[in-house]
Amino acid sequence: MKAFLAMLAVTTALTVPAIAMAGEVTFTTTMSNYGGDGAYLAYYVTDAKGKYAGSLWMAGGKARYYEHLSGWYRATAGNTAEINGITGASVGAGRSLKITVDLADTLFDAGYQLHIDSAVEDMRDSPSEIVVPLTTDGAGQVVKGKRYIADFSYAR
Amino acid sequence: MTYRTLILAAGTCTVLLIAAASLAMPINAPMPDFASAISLVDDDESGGDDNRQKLRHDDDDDSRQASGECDGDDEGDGDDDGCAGRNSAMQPQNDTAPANGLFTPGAKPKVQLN
Repeated sequence: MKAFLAMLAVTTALTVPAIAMAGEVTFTTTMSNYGGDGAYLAYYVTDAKGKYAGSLWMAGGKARYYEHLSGWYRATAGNTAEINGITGASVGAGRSLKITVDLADTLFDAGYQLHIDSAVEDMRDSPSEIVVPLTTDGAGQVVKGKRYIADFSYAR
Repeated sequence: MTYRTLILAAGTCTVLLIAAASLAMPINAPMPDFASAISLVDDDESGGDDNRQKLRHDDDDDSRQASGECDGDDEGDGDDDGCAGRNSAMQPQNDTAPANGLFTPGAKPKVQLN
């Protein structure tokens, strides 16, 4: 019995910190049929004071067009170092983008908000088209977009 | 005695690991200085209505793409800078996410486009 308790304490000491650190989060964005070319999307986070905290993903690979993602561009001054390793293709009308990332648990229930800026060729820019608080209760809730994004949700 | 020592060691381990974990995840850490940051501004692209500039699908800057993504399409056709989306399977990214305090260290985002 004593040996069992000792081993249980050792295994708990090794596993609990890892569980508490982070978890996978999946962001699902479905585009509406807006009748245009591929949309550029910038996913970024602001803290409880509204200050830019970091970028999560950039859909769209041509940096010269990032200025149309005006919320992100204003916060980062267009610094592409912010999106090193987290850049992918733009997303076409009617398509769905699913991004799975390993995020720190401290982002949730702490006042952080996820913003998604969107822009489409020859159409109006749509900064902060999606703004959702990162909370435990918010996981699974579907949020409607205002222009190019049909809906968005995240899951933990 | 042995078991007591083990339990004590486990408790100490827990405290040290939690402390190390909290140090490893600085949310308010200063922004990293990337000495090899890529220059972006294209001085040839200027003027015009900010809301109506064309998003031409020229050849993409490969260094800006996460590995595994396709190049841009010269024809301007397609809605996703190339062949992304032709394969809707999950595409694991080889590039590591930036150390901005949002991701766990060494995190590699996975993307699926349907």
